[in-house]
Amino acid sequence: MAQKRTMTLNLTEVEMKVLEDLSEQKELSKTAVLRQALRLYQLVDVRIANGEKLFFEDDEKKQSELMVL
Amino acid sequence: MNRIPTTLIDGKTGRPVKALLLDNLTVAEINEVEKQWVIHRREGATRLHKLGLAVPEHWRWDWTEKSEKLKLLAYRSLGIKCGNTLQGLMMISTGVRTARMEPDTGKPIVYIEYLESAPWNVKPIVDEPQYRGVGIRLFEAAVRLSFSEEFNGRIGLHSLRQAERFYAEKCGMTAIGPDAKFQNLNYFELTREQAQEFLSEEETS
Repeated sequence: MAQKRTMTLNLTEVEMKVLEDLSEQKELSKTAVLRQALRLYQLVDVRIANGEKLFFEDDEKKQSELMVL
Repeated sequence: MNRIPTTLIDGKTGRPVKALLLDNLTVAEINEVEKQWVIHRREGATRLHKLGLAVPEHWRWDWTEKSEKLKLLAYRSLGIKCGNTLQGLMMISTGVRTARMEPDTGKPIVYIEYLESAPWNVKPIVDEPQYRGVGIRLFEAAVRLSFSEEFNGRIGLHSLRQAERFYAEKCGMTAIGPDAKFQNLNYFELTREQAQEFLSEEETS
């Protein structure tokens, strides 16, 4: 296992609630949720930087482009 | 890099031999392995083709193309070393895809992107594999990783046709069906219950 480093994260009440809800829904610790979020954010960010686009598709196959800042 | 002791089966004697499971292989290490494997893969495919036998579907694989993904946090690669040589490679992604099966639909899985035994361990390519058990040891590593990632052992993958029996019968995965968005390859998943069963069986065997 790679060596881990510790940081303090300051979140607002609302942000913490979202993190707690995701943690419960996904059955992950809050650390694991944030780790997943970081992996996905990097993945999306790199692909968009390479000129790709990110779309969501609904049941009727309608696509909408997602802006990532 | 982590080094975890494991075992493979010597193809000649049928006896267990000590091996090492290596985690977080680098792009350079994988590219070095590909330089050796590509020659054996192509020679094997040519020989089988001349004999009119089925060529392994993965004979065109090139890990140097696949290894680019390892620059991203979501991807990592594991290998098994025995006799000072890598005997198998696996690339996984963590949390990029989610489970399709109940009771964990929508929850993250470890997805096996690629899994390959060294060409000298693959039965159609050689008549007598040097080592057996490479695939199952790598699959076991993926299941254990899924637990350590808090994914409860959940695994997903798209299987080449020739590997479907291995994933269904040896690994205990469920075939969900062909995936039109993935070259119509059959999608397989291991649920949390199946993961527990798999590890229990591996520990008692």
